[in-house]
This record gives sequence, structure tokens and C-alpha cells, in this order.
Amino acid sequence: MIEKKSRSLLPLTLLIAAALSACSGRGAGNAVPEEGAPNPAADDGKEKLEISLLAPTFKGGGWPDNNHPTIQYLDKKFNIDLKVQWTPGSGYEEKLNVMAASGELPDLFIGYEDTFLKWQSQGVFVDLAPYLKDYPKLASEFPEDMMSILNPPGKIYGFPKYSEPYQASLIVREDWLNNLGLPKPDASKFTVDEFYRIAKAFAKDDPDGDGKADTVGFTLGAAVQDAGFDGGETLEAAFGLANGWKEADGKLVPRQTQSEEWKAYLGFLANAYKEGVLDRDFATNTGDIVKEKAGGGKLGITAQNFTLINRTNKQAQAIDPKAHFVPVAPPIGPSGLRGNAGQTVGDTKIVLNADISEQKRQRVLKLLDWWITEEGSNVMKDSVEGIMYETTSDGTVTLTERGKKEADSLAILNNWFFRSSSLKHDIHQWDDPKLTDEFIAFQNELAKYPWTNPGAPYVVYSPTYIKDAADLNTKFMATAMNIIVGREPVEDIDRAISEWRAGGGDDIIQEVNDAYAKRK
Amino acid sequence: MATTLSKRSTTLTPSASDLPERRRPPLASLKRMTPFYLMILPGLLFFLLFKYVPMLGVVIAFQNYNPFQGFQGSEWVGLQHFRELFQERDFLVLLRNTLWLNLLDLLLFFPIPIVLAVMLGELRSRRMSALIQTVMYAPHFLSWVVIVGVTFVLFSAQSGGVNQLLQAAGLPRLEVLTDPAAFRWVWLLQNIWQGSGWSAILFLAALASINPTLYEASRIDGAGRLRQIWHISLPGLKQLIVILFILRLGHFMDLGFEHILLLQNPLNMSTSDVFDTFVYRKGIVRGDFSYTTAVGLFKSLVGLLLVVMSNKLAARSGQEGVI
Repeated sequence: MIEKKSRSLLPLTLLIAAALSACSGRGAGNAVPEEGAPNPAADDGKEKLEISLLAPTFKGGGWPDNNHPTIQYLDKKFNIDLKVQWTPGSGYEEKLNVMAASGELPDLFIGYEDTFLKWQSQGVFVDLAPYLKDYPKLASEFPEDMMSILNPPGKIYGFPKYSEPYQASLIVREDWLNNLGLPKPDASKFTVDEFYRIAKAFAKDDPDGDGKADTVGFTLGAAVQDAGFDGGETLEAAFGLANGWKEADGKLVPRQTQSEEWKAYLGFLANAYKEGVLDRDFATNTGDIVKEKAGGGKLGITAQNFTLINRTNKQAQAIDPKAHFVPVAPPIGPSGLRGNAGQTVGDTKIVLNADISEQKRQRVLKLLDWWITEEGSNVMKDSVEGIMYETTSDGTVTLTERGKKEADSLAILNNWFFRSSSLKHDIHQWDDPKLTDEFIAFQNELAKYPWTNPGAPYVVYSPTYIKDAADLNTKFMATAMNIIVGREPVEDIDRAISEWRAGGGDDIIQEVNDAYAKRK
Repeated sequence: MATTLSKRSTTLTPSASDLPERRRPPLASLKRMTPFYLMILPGLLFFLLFKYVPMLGVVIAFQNYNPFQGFQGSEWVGLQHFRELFQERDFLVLLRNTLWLNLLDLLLFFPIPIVLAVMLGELRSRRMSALIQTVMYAPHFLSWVVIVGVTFVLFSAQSGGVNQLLQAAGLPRLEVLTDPAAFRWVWLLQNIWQGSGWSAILFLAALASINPTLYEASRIDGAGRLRQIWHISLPGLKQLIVILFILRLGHFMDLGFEHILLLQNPLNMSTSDVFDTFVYRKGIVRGDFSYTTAVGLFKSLVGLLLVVMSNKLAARSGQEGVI
């Protein structure tokens, strides 16, 4: 009975962590260590340094150990012992919090927006501004606004993790459309009604022709932290919801207060759920489950980025050789609105732990400075020549047997941790050169239908947002999801809205607008 | 009853012969006992290091703890976090859910291993008994991730195996994974499936220690099986049941954290959100260490209170307690 379950060890873990860190606490006095002026000469590269790095993982996971050819290459080139720790992306901040509590933060890690903001005043990160003059590549690689976002004036506490402002496109199984005799959506006339007709046909008319009702029309992931659904972005835009925040009369308005738009959107989804067009498992979906369903040939409509589409097609073709997802324009809503979700870029930062020595700082900066050069980028995304790929005498590059086996995991440090702003950062040397043009065309197509979030740079300045937003949104979305599955009437969203406002939402609106007025 | 009493007095007699030893000189007894103290030492150190020293960490419940400034540097805020907790919008929801799950566990789970053990004890075939016992405690070695994963494979609303069968038969789907009303029962049934066989082992061991002559005597007196269970087996287990019950009450506010977290989704939050998952969300995910330590401390105090109270009650009703 006593040992029946592992009784909650959390408070205890916290206490142990706290007790340990008491010994390693920095004391208030030296919160911002100043160890003389930055000087590249502090590191002559002769001493072997151990550098720890915490990287997030997504589908496929990290490298099994620190003997990966890429890491060995870096170890040799920079005379370091690089220790990469991998942790699932969804639990990254959780991991950081635990490491912080036990005083064991890695040398190099990612600061996501609110952690980055919260910890910079604690002196956790190295101020990189004085170092930039010695590392011109790092200083000039990223656009000015990406560098400065979330940094106080004159300071640079981290380098942005570069990403394109538009990433995911709505994609549809073209072969399923053909099987059912449906035309491919025409961008100028593609409405949510047509979206619904296609989804319904995918769910009901056996698009894969196996005689079994085992396909779903479309699905959503429960990304409740943002008060929206993963994969539902284009629908949300069509129904007039803000991408987080929208500007009206010089004020920022959050999507949580858009009662009419929510009712229209939730009414649409509730109907889709009732008719079996929306995946009934949506409430328990995670992002990876949605990707599996698409790759596993069960799902005909979803949203993915350029790299993932190619990978999903390959996965789906293993089951059905004709399988082919093609990008389509976002659907047009009842009032003519449409859009692809634009992301705030630059709010994810690569940071250096302020506890590391001047020598180590210089070494890490050398590594990062090299990482974004063309030479460095090629290693970080393609790994090492002779092991993973070979160049033949006529100059063509091909994957080796090992490279083919590990093709999907070669670029993970580059994809998940840090990368250059080059348009080719996702294109490998062995890829068809046309792929770069396709990628540019894909990005241009997405950018035609902008749905931006003018509030994104300001939310982190709201203490109430940092403290309560996740909880408030969880509750808000619980009501929204109960409406979709038919347990509550659509009108109940008004109750959720007033609860959201009373529970802290009004404070968030006020604080975000204050920050907006001050900084815009 | 008379038989159990006489059994008890026989177990008490040896302690009387210990008495003269207490009169030895203290130094000599220390020397004699040294090996024993040495044997205790590792366990003692374990408890000191991992149970008592970390308790000092509760001071952060009274601070605005900041890991970068440590204990000394963090600001003292007194009872602010406790006030915040009792004013928390969700405090009553969390309390209600925590109490509900614990009551279910206590009333419906706790007796099952006892019943199982008694039933196994009545089996005539030893081999059969051993086989059933093994099969029943095997699930204990499965992690919650696996158990919840299998439940999802079977009961997902759209792709779950059971639901596909139901749909093929034209029956309505079971939405047990997202229905707030179903959550508690799913949780309880999984607990029973996973833990009851394992928990029965203790009771089986206690049953085995009951003097078989008691059963023989009762058979001669003409007692049937049910009478034997009622008058011999259960009284023999009474002491163990009381102790385990008191210990269980000490964990009254604790629930299997990862199990609940795995089953939790936005649709069943209204019944599945408990103090443990709240602490996880606020403390580990959001990094609010002080507040969550205050929640943990509150939980522990409730547990301590319940142990002391139930121990008193047990003592009053003539049973030995744990303290």
C-alpha cells in the first residue's frame, strides 16, 4: 500500500534543488559579474575546454551520444569537449528551471521569450554587445530588429534563433482529391465552405480507397497556451480572430475578447465535430501525433513547413506510393478574411551563461561565429564529408550509406538550436539545386496572405501575462473545446471571455497597451 | 476472540526476559551494540541527507525565492504565498478534486487488496494461488506511461480500438478520456489494475503468519470458511490494516502525480486538476518555486494532522498506532 505509487516527489525535489543551490547561490552583490573588458586574446585556443549545451528535441529526438561526427568535428576544430544535452522541446523551460534551481545551468542554451526577459535582469546571461566588434559575422548576420527585440537599449543578451516569419502552409493530399474527383482548390476562390466540403469528403468517402472508414477530414492540436489550436491558424484567420492581438484605434486588442468571431469559429468546429469531419481525438493530440497521422496516411488536410512537407510526403509514400501533399492558399472566411500566421522572429535567443570564464566566452563566440559562415553551416546541416556524404570527381554530392540512414537527424543542431539567416539553411548540398527556388517560392506564396500579431513584442512586458496567461488560456480553451464537442452551447464562450477578463485578462490588456504606448 | 488474545500474550512473553540486560553498564552495552549501530548508520545517513536536510529548504515558502540569489539573497515575504494560495481562484476546485480522488482511493481501492489476499489465502491449490498472485502483481512493474498509452490506444474517441468496434456495431462511442465525469473512474480503475495485486502481498504475508492451529481448532469446533475468515483471518490482519490505513492517511493530499498528468487534457481539467499538477504547472514549468513550496508545505501539514488524529483514534480503540 505504501509503495503503491511513487508518491508526489515534486515538492521534495524542489527542496533538494533549493538546498543544493544555496551553496552555489551567487549572492546579491555579484549578480552581474564584470571580469574586465572582453578581449579575444583571453583565449589562445590551446587549452581544451569543456562546453555544455542544452538543445531542444522534436520529432525524431537527439543524437544518442556525444560521439556524433559533427560533434567530433567541432571538438577537434575548436579544441573543445562539447557536451550536448538533449531535452524534449515541450519541456525545455521546465528543464531549465530545474537546472537553474540546482545551480547547474549549461554554458550555452536557449532563452525563450519570457525566460529570456525574466533572467536578463538577474545577470544570468553574458552581455554580448561589447564582444560584437571582434565577431563581425555574428554582429552583421541578423536583421537589426531581430537582434534588439527583448533586449534593453545598448545591451545584447542573446543572438536570435533565425526563422522565417511565415513557416507553415495549409497542405492537402492531392492524390485523395484526384481519387474523389475533386478539383484542387483555386487560390482566388477557396472558401471555408469548400474547405469543409473537401474535409467531409476525406472523412466520409474513403479517399484512400481501402474500403475502410479510417480517415479523418482535418484535425487540430490542443495548443492551449496561445488560446488557439495548433493547425487551426488559417481557419482562425478566416473567421476574423486576431493572431494573438490586433490593432484597433491605436489600441491592442487580444483575441480572447472577440466574442462574435469565436462564436462563428466554434460553431463551425462544433458542426464539423458532430458530423465526424473534425478528428474526434483532437483534444488529446500533440503536435507529433498530428504529424504521425499525416505521415501515416490517415489525415488529408493539415499545416506544415517546407522541410516537413517533403519528409511527410516520403513517409506517406511508404504506405501509398501516390501520396502527395501539396500546399494550398489559406481559405477565405465568411467576411472575406484570410491569412497565414506570421510569427514574431528573434524572440527565441541563444544565450551564454554569465558564470563561464572570459576564455570560454571567447571560445564559444568563435564557435558561433563560425557556425553561421557558409563553411560552418555546411557542417552543421550536412555533418562531415567522407562520413555522411561524398563529393564525386564531377562535383556532385551524394549521401553515403550511413548518411542515408541518418539523413533526417544530420541537421538537428542547426534546425533546433542555432543557424544562419541564409535562405539555404534548410537545403543540403546533395539536394536538387531547384529546391532553393522552390523554398523561396513557398515563402513568397505564404507571405501573400499576411496575418500578423502586432502585440507579440509587448506581451512579455506584462507581469500578469507572464504569471497567469498560461493558466487563463487553459481555462478559456477548456470552454472552447467543450463547446466543440457539444457539451456546452456556443453562447458559453461569453462566460469564458468574462472569466478570462476578470481573472487577469483586463490587467494583461492594460499592461500590454502601456508597453505598446511606450515602445511602439 | 479469546484465541487471538492468548496468542498475543505468548508473543509478549519473550520481552520480559530482556529486562536484566538493561542493567548492564552503559559503556559495555555500547560496545556490544556497536556493530548494530554501524549497521543502522547508512540508513540513518540516508534519512538525514535526503529527508531531513532538504526540509530546511521549506524556508523558500516564506521568501520570494530566486535561484540566482540563493537562500541568503532572496527577499523574505512572510505568509504572503499562503495568503495567495487560499485566495487562489482555483483553490476550492483543487481541494475538491484532490479530496474526491483521495476518498475514492481510500474507500474503493484500499479494501480491494485485503479482499484479494483473503480470497487467495482460501485457495486450496498452492500452485494456482502462486500463479494468480504473479499475474495480478505483474502490472505493478508497468510504468504509468505504458498503462495510459495502452488506454489511449484502446479508448481514443476516433482511432481507439474499442471505439472502432463500437462504431462498427452501431453503438455510441465511449469518450472516457475526455469526459470530466469519467476521469475519476478511469483513474481509479487504472490504480486498481496496477496496484491491487502488489498491495495484496503484504496482507498475504500477514495471513501466512497466522498460526494454522487456530484454523484446525476452529474446524474441529465446526466453523465454516466464512466463519474462519471472519473470526481468524480478518482479526489476524487487523493490526496491519490499521497501520497501513494510518500511513495512507498521511499521504491523504498526495496523489500519483505523473499518472494524473498523463491522463489530463483540457476537456477533463475540471475534475483532473489537483494540487500536485498545479504545483508542477506553476513551479516546474513556470519557475515559481516559492509559491509551489508553500502549496507543498500546506499539503504536508494536512497529511501530518491526519496521521496524528487517526493515530489517536486508533490508540483510543485499543490498537497499536505508528507513533
